[in-house]
Amino acid sequence: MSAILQVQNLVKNYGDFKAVKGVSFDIEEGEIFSLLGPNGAGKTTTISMLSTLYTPTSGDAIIGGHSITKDPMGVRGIIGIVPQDLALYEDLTARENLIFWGQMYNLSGKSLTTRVDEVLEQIGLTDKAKDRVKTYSGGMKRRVNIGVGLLHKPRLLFMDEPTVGIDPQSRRAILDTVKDLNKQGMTLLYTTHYMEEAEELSNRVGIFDHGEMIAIGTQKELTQQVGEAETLILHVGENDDSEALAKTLKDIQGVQQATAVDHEVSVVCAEAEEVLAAVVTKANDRGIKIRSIDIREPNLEAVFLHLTGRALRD
Amino acid sequence: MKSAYVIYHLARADFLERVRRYSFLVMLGLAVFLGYQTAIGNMALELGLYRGEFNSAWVGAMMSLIATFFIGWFGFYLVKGSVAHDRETGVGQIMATTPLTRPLYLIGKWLSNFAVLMTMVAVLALGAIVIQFLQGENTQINLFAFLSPFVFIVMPLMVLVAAAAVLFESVPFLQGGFGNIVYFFAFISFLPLFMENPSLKQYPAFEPTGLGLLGSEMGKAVTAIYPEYNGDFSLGGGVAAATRVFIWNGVHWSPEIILARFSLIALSILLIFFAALFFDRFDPSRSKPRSVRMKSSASPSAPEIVSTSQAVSTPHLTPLNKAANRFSFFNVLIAELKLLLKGQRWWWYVVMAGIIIACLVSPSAAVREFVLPIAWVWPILLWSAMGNREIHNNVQQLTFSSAFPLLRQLPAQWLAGFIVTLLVSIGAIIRFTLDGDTAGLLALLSGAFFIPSLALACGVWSGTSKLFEILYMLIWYLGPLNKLTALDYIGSHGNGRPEFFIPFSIVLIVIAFMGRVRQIRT
Ligand SMILES: Nc1ncnc2c1ncn2[C@@H]1O[C@H](COP(=O)(O)OP(=O)(O)O)[C@@H](O)[C@H]1O
Ligand SMILES: [Mg+2]
Repeated sequence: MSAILQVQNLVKNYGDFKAVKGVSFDIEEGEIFSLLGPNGAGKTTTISMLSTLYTPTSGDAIIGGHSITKDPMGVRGIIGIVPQDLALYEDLTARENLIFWGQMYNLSGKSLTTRVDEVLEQIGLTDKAKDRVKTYSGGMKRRVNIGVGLLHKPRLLFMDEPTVGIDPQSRRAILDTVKDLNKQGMTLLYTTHYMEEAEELSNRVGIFDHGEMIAIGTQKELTQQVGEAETLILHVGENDDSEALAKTLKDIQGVQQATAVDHEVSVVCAEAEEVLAAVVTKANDRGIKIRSIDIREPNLEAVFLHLTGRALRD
Repeated sequence: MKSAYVIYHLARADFLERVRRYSFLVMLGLAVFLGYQTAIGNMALELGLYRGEFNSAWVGAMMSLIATFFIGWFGFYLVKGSVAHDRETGVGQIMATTPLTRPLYLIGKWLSNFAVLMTMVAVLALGAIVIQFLQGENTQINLFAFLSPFVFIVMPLMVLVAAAAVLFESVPFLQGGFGNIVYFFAFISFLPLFMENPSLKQYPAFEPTGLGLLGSEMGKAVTAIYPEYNGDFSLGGGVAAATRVFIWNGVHWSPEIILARFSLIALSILLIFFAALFFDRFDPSRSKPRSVRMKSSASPSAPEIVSTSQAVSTPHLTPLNKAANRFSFFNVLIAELKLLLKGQRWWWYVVMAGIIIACLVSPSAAVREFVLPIAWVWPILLWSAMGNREIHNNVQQLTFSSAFPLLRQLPAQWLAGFIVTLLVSIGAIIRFTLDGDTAGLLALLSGAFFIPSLALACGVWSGTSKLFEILYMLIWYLGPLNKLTALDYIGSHGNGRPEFFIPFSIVLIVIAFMGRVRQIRT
């Protein structure tokens, strides 16, 4: 396999603020590569540079043999993008939007209409194709946006957090579409802050934080970094102080990390059974009632926790 | 011809999208209104005591002038914003990742602007035919005489206006309210430039609105019959002074004239390529001035006060007693004042201070006629941000969902606007008081009442700063500057019209309230 994308020391500053600090990685033709990182990590900025929207402050990337800085036009012919924020003409119908973008990519005549029909089918909006986009739900709009990205059959498709803020059903549909596209031979760069999505979709994952790629590899390679660690997920009551609990749990011997998000406390440890009793006792001491406990095998969440000391979803 | 295909469809989608928006109906409505005003004789073309017979040539030319003047002047504001719309929807950002080049994109926008303008022109043209039949002086339709002024006079100007809109949207410092004001004055300065400059006067066909060309052509026709004709030429409120009729059969379109008119199209092409040099292709870092401004004022990440409800969010949580209410109203007011007054460059304040001092040291009469009007146009971009800032900063949800926004924020915004207006007039207030000019003082107060009211009503209902900028410039230009007493809210000539402007302001405030209620409901 050969690399369709080679990122070389890419940097982007907004004024004095360093949003992306010298990132390098490759994506192989035919894979789904996920950029996993919390909000503000620099994922969108990276995608904006790779898709030739923003000029990098320094560094370069080669996409299908074309440099994003020296030959952006060459790059634009190969890529497609599904942006994080919806980008549609709301007063046009889904069909009109797709036709429009097809025309922007020089499709015309029969090949355009058949392609639009194909894409409508693929995103499951054939029935609603004649309604104006502004009457759509968030999930449907998102699917139109995905359709726009696919229309010209790009070799490399960028998808920037396409499942944020939409209903579970649309989300499922989108994830299935992504896998489908990949089966048909499309290479995808998918960004997300949902660990589950990165795990389900990707061949390889790059973990992104504060403008840097802090780890990269297959899920297996990454989880091996945390060793055999397991994660305990404690669900506590709504009024319980999960933050304080997480702090005390860190003192337990065998616990490597403990963080709280909402009413969940994640505890990373070598062996769940060994610390379980101590964890429950600590919680009882604080008067916190544990509603349920899950034990998870090493996962990307744990990797992120291990590398940064923070939970992915703050 | 792949590029032509892409341009055509880019323009088409943009045009379709605009045509389906509510604001397009409003635009068409205005065009119909203009046509109607002409039909009932409220607007007419007169050459002093003379007017043409209502034949095809005459109604075509008259309506062409109305089109170039009104649609050329105000249509600019209606079509400007198509690039900004792409930026806001994010469509532009995706477009930037396709092989579409900068010039092609801008040409597409240019065509779409042109199509929108011509749609309004077409409405007026239809109106002209109706007028010819209504008048019944000559019901024979001469298609060439009727259409030729639209083709040779109106069309090239619309091409130019469409290109100017694209240019203004591409050049960073012309994108906002400043550009709106520049265009306003640029447009009206063309006429006197061509009419009064002796060397330019010889080439009336180059004068963009066609007033020069038609004036000279019609003048020839009148002089042939009535040698005593003195050269008067006016388009405006039908005083029906014209009693003598002459027959005019249209412009003699020589190749020179046609070439001169079409030179506007060549100029437009230049403007578009010039625009392409400035256009940032939706990458803020590509144009220097923009990125500087982003840092100083519009950075999306910088936590700044964008709405007063953020500044005073805590008091909303508890039920308010009277004292707390007054206290927080005061807080809101302070926040609104800060919002209004900050964000200008240092030299803005220096000039403002200069104007205030000039008010203080000039004689009362001069203050009324010259200095105060200047003091009341300098802060126009401050006022025009009133009432629509919430929408611009995308914190609508936040502001509108907090408690009592209606009871608290709108009056505070208005009051802040009123205080700022008084502040910039402080020199004049002192001057009038020292001179015992109570009439001037009263007119000033009514004006200070009127400005924030108009700003708020326009801002709330239109959601942009444009509407106020255009309306206010127009009122300012016609009233205080051109002595139209009905609109003289300053008292530049005579004693102003407090008896009208104070009640009218109250109506405007009510309208603003209604607009805000509507926003909150939906
Ligand atoms: N146009 C911009 N100007 C200034 N700062 C920005 C801009 N866009 C993003 N940032 C900042 O850069 C950082 C990375 O943002 P982004 O790339 O959007 O992250 P992500 O997509 O991973 O959430 C954030 O801290 C964000 O506030
Ligand atoms: Mg992002």
